[in-house]
Amino acid sequence: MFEIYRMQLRQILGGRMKWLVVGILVLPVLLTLALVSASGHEAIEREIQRAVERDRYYQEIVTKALSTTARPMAWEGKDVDLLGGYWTLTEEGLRRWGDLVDYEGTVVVNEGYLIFVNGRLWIDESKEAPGDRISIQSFSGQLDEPLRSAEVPITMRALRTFYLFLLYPQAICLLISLFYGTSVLGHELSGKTLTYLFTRALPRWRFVLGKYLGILAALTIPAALSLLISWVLMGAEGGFVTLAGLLAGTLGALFAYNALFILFGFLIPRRAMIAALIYGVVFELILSFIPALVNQFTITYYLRSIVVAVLDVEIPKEAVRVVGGASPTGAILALAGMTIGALVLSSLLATHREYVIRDQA
Amino acid sequence: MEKLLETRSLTKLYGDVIGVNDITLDLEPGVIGLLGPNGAGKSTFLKLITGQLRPTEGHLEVLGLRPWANMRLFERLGLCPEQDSFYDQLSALEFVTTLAKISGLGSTARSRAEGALERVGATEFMRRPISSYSKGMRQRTKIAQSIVHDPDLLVLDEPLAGTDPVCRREIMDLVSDLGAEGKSILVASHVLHEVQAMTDEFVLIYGGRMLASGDVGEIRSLMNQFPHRITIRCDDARKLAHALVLEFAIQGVEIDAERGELNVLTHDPGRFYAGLPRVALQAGVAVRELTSEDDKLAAVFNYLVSVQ
Repeated sequence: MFEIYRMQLRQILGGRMKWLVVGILVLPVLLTLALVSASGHEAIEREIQRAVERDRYYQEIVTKALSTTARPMAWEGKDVDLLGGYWTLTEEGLRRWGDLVDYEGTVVVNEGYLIFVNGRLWIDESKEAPGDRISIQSFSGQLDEPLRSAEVPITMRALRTFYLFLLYPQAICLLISLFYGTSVLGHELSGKTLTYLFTRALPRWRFVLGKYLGILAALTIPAALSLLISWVLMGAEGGFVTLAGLLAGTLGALFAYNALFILFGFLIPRRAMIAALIYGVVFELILSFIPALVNQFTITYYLRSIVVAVLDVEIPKEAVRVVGGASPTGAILALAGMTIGALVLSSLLATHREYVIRDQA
Repeated sequence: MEKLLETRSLTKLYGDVIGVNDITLDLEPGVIGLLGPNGAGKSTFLKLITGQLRPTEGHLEVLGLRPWANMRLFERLGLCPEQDSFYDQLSALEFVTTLAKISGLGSTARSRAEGALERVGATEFMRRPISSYSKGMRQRTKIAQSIVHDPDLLVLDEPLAGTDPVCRREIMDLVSDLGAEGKSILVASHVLHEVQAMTDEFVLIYGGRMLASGDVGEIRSLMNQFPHRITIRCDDARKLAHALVLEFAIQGVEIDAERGELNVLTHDPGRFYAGLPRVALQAGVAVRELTSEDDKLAAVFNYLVSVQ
């Protein structure tokens, strides 16, 4: 098995091939560098800062509004679905609420559960949801819990962390595994060298495991290094907790995707790369955002769960089901399960299916 | 003594295509030639024997073992595959050492690899990358990897393909030596006179079926009905034709003086090839090219098929 491992390592890092790995991992660093030095970068940061301040401002308004006892008010509007529409305060209402809503303000208070301020939705989770229809009344008294926005809050640190996640576990690791994982068997078949290995007293699971470990040995350290450089370039946001989360995501992606794509190689030997590419786009990039149990069968879902855990913003319940709701431990267990499952299946296929070099034409 | 090979109605289908059709055969240990034109099912038969394919129907045992993915057989089997493929960036020594380690030779792998490479006459070039090798060097390397773990059964698929006469001679001698040491060897080829130099025992395959097995005498008498056709390009076709007719038993000569070509029909190509350089030298004629269509075997097979 060690020989297979060594051969794979040499195949990826030996001779001219090593420049491919270097290229793949220098590219994201250059992209990060370009992004950091781009002139628009500070504008984004200012915009986010402004959004954060606006959120805080609205929160104050609503809190203040809810603590007044002014009632009743004149409203204009109609029954609509909860999330569909919002309600406009009439002039009279505006006059009475003038000191609270400074201009064209729109405030809806619904049993204390849903509140719209200037088109932004707020939720008071201490209250039960009232149902489909909105009955409007004013609200008095203090809230048990502070209000928060129903939208995903954004901070610069969260944005940067998410960018690094998209770049490494999601893009680079997926692509690099797609290339090396699917070619574990394909390379031996197209190079017509499999015969030398599959007619020797080498149990097939050792072939699979040796190749797998060879790929990991060749790729993990360069990928981690590339991530570290990009993270530092991005300002080393969030300290070691964030770095650990991103690193876990990157390594988890390499471990799981390579195992899965090796399996693709054994399932569809001659079309592995295109099949894996279609799978990567359809499942890992699109279906992984559909919160109907489907996304819990994708590797991305668990990778995102790990990274979500180290973000400095709290993601609303509704969004967590889309992004990634597994606990870090659960996510790591799920990834380990998928990895081991794919390797075992590959070994079984390698032992029981015919993989043979076609006759020369 | 255990049988080398035992098959009962061995059949292999690829979907609807028949690779090997209903072969029943018993072989005792020894050196055996497996003969058949390209596309006759030789390769499929060898892949079944070497455990790369699973029989669709029938029974197959090699050295008393069912070959399909059988690690116990693989310990005792050496295969020199037909395809001319390597890990090109490796040298022959690295290549054979790696495969020896995979065969479980451990710390002795390197010295065993050196031994095997020396045996096939590859010591001189074994430290250079395989990508720089000639066809003959590559063929020697392939044979070295098949004998490095000292297998009981050696399967050589077209071991002489693309080799020059010197290399050919050495490989033939090596096979004879290994046979004399008591190894069993299966040599597959589509050229009869190549294998004839290594063994007298043959199995003939054509159209996925076994046509005949046994002694070379029977086959040779069949072959004699179909003389071997050799084309020689030289600078004086008439002069060479004259010298050749005096020297060898030749069935016919065609001369194309304009193109400087000479077609010779003979029943004894072995003797002809061996004597040609001397005759050409004596006649003072420079031979530029020597080709043989090798359609003779196909003719015999067609004959055998029509007889059956």
